Amino acid sequence: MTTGQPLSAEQVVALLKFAGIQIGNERAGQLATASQELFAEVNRVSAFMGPRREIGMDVKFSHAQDRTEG
Amino acid sequence: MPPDGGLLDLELTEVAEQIRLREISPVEVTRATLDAIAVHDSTLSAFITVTEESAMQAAEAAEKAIGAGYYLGPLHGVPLAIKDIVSIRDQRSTSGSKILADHVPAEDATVSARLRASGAVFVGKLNMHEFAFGVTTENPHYGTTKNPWNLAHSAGGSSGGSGSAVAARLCYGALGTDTGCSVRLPASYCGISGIRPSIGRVSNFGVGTLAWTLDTVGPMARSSADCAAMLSVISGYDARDPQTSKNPVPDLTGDIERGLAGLRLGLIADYSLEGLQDDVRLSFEQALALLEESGATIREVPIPDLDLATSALMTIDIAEPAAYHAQWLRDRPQDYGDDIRTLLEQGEMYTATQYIQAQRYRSMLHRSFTEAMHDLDAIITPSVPYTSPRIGERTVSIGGKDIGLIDAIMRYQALPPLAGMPALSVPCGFSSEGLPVGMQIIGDAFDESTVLRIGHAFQRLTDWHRRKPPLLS
Repeated sequence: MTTGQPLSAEQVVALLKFAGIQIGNERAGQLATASQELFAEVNRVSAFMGPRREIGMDVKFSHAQDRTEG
Repeated sequence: MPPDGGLLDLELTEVAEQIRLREISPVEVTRATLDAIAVHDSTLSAFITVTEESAMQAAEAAEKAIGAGYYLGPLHGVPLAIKDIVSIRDQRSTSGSKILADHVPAEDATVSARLRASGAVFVGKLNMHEFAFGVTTENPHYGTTKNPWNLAHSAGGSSGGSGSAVAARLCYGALGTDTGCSVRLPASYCGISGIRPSIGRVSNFGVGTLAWTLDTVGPMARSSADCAAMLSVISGYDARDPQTSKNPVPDLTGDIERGLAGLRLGLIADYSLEGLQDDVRLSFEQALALLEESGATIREVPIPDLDLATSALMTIDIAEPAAYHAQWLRDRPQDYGDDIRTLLEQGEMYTATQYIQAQRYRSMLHRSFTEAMHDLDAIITPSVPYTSPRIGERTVSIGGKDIGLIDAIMRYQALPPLAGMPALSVPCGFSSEGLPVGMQIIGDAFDESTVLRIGHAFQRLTDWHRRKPPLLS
């Protein structure tokens, strides 16, 4: 799997607008810069897990791993 | 002899014993604690609210009850403080934010109610990183909490007020919350003990949310035994929190006395000893040698793909807060500190599949840790690979390289929350600059008992947890 590309300020504005959040161009530029490293990290996990289809999401995991009940 | 007669140097379990024996009174202890807060908190900014009046009323009630023969147990009459994200009825509970600056809950969180029922005296609400969403407790609304070991250095976060207050003897124990690191990091920076319990061991009812699938409440105190005393009281099923487990709570305070003999400890191969500052390596290796000399066996275990742990944690621990804060972010964005607002906006841009991939990684990590624990009692790492940085610093120097603060913190801290395992941080030495070094003890799910037992045995062999910050000398 390939990883994603950094977002431009215009793309940040568009994405947040889609989510219902309005921000100005200056803040969008700062956010795009601040997000590059973080989004690269996020993409690393996605790229790693993408091909591993045998691993599920253990929904019970987030509900206490209750071994006596599970 | 200090003005309080050394009263505040006692650990929680020690002061509790003196109260039980009626050698000292809850009123005397609470007065001494409030006086110490009055002296030191203007320097430390550990508290958001000091609850002097209600604390003295609770202390007087405890004194009367104990005098009449109604002793409730080892927290009766003992002054504790509570992170400001945990509700105490009729007390302001800000979560360290401007948005909740005037929030006064009408009822206790379950953990507060259980502490109250055990006779604890609440002396105040503690400073924290805004909404528990950060690691520095550089709070734009309530001030920056300082580290009592060096006021120019960070107390950590998000439970920085809890770490600072316990280390400075401004309470005998505190509650923190831990989503990615927030009990264990300030415990390590401030030279105290702090435990993150298994997810589901302690109720989150009445506790502000950061990330639903990671959040836990955890005790912070001077020693492992003190943490055990507090955890015993707050643990167990709560009908008002569906995530709590019905697993029985073991005898945490009794089990800790069983020593180290026969315990099997693991070091993560190519990981537990890698990338450490020299002082941290030295203290950690000395701690390992001591554990081994005292009857534990230590061997290396491989756990694969740990280099993605920080990435997974940052994905979950930004996406879930963004969902929780969605309405406030749209209605009151200007009321957030800039760091929090930026993180929440970033969380709004994650995709659903990115979040799910991170949760799947977590499932994989949980299996890896569970497998490793089959023939181990605990896994040992440093708490963090460095000592507390100066306030405002966002990188740490390790082996001549500048490493981003989050990467350095999460190297060891991210593992227990992702894997769902309990973990205790205990002090295991000091750097040449006089800053505490922490050791992390990770147990199998719901085995807080063994984790606390190892911490307690280590603290019977060492005096790191008894050292006193220079501020108090």
